[in-house]
Amino acid sequence: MRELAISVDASAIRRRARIRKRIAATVKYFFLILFSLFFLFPFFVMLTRAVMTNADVLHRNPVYIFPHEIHWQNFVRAWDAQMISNLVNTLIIEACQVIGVPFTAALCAFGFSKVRFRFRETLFAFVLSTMMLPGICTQIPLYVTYVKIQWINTLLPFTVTAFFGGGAVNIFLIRQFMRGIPHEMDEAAKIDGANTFMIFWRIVLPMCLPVIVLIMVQTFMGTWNDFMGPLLYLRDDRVETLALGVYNRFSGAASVDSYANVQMAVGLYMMLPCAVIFFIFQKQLIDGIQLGAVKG
Amino acid sequence: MVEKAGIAPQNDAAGGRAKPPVARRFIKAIKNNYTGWLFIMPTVLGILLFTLYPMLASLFYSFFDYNIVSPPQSFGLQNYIKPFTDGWPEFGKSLQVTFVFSLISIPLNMVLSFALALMLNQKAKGMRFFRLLYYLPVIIPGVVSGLLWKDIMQPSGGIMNALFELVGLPKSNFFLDKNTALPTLIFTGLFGLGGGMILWIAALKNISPDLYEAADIEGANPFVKLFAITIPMCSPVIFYNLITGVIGALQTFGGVYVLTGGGGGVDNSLLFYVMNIYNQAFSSRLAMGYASALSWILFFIIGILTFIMFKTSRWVYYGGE
Repeated sequence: MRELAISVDASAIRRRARIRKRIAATVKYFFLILFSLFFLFPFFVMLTRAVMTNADVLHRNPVYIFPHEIHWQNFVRAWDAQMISNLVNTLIIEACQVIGVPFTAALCAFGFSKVRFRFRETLFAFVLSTMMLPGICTQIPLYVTYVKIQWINTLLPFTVTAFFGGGAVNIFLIRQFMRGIPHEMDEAAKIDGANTFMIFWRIVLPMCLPVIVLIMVQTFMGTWNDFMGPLLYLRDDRVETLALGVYNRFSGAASVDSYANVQMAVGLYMMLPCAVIFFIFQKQLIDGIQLGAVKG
Repeated sequence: MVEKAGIAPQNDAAGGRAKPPVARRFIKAIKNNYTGWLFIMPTVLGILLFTLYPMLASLFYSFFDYNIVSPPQSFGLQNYIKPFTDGWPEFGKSLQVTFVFSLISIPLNMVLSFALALMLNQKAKGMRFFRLLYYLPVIIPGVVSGLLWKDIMQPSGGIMNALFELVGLPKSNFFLDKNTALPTLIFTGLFGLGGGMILWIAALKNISPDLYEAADIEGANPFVKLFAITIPMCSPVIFYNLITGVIGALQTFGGVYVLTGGGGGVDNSLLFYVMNIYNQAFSSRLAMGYASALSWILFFIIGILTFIMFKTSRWVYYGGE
C-alpha cells in the first residue's frame, strides 16, 4: 500500500475508494430493493385482487396480474351482516382480553416482585413452567369441560379466562420491569399510609405503563388472529369471531360472493386494525419482541 | 408490608430491640403471605382450572375409550399402542410431515433471517425503513394469509403459475400435489422472515464494538469476524430461536387448517401432528381418549427435544455471567 501511495497521488486513491464505495452501495441497495419486492408481494396481490371485477379475477389465459379497472365495489360486498356480527363478537372478546390479561399479569408480577410471601420462588417457577406446555394438551380436555358446563357456543371460554392467567411470558416481562422500580417509591407511599393494593394501583402500575401497553398490543394482535380456540369452541355462526368467520365464509362451495376479489377485500378489512396498531406502536412492539429474546 | 417479612428479623437483631411476641409475628407472617397470595391468586387459580386440571384430565382420558357422550370405558394402554399399530398410517405420516417440515424450515428460516439481519444492521440511509418493510408480512393475520396463499398458488388461475409462465418455468400444482405441498408451505413461510430478523438485529446491536475494533487491529477478515465474533456472541439468541422454533413448528396447525380446509391435504401431504390430533378428536369418531394420548406423546416429544437442546447447549455463550 505504501509503495502505491508514493507512485499515485492521494486524490486518485481517494477517488478510487469513493468509486468502490459507490459500487458497493449500489449493489447493496439493489438487493435491499429486490428483497423489498419479495416482502411486498403478498400486499401487492391482496391490493390488486381486491379491486378486480369478477370477470378479471376469474380470467384464465392469461391470468390477470393487474386489474383492468379499479372496482371499489368489492369492499361493499365484503361488508355483510355476518361480518358485523363477527366483528361485534371479536370486539367483546378483545375488550376482556386487552384489559384482563395485562391486569392479571401485572397483579401477579407485582406479587412476585414487590411482596414477600412464603413459597414465592416455588410458585413463580410453577407459573413459568406452564410456558412450555403445548396448547393442544389442554384444549381437548377443556373442550370436554366446556361441553359439560355449556360454554360451547358462548364467548365465555375467551372472556372469563382473560381474567385468570395473564400468560407466563407477560408475567415474566412485567416482573422484570417492576424489579427495576426502586423500593424507595413504594416505601414512601407506605409511610404515607397507602395499603399494598394502593401502592400497586397508584404507584407501581403507572410506572409500568410502557410494558403494559406492549402487552395490550400483543394481546390484541394475538386475540384478533386466534383461530384454533374459536374453531374448537365456537360452532355456531352467531358467536363466531372474525378469524373463524372469514374462514367459514370462504371454505364452503364457491359462489359469486366468495371470489378471490371479495376474499381479498375481506382480508384487507381484517388486516387494517393490525396494520394501524402496528404503525402506531411499532417501536414498543419491536423493542418488546427484542426484550423477550435477549433477556429470555 | 412490602419487602418487610424477610428483612424485619435482621433489623431487629441488628437494632437489639426486643422481638415481638411469637404470636404476633405469626399473625404478621400470615398477613404478609396472604397479601402476596391474593395478588397471584387469579393467575394461580387460572393455571389450576384452565391448565393443570385439563392436563390431568387428558392424562386420565388417555387411558380410556372416551367420546364425551358416554362415560370413559375400558381402562388400558390401548391409546398408547394404537399409534404404532392401527393408527400408524396417520400417526407415522403426521410425524414424518411435522419432522421434515421442522428440519427444513427451522434452519432455513434461521440462516436467511440472520443474513437479512446482517444486511440491515449496517449504518446506512433507509435501514429503518427497510427493516419495517421486511417485517410487514408478519402482521398479516393467519387466516388472511391462508386465504391469500391458497389463491396465489391455485394451479389454474393463480398468480404464481402466471409468474412462472412469464419466466418460462413449468406450471406446478403447489399445495394440490403431494410432492410440492410441503415445499410450497415452506416457501410461503419465508415471508415471515422479518420476525426472526428483528430478533437477530437486537442481538447484533448488543455486541460490543470493541470486539470488532480488536479484530480489525489483528487484521481479521470479515469471515473470521463473522465466525469468531458475531455468531458466538449471538449464540443465546440462536438458542432461543431454536427452542421457540422447534416448539412452534411441532405445533403447526391454524395456517395449514385454512389451506387444506381441515384435512391433511392431498395424500395427507400436509397432515401435521396437531392436525391429526384435531381430526381424531373432532371427526365423527370423537376419539377423545386417543387424541389425549396423542397430545401426551407430543408433550413427551417436545419435552425430550427441549431437554436434549438444553443439555447440549454448551456452545451457547452467556457473556461474563
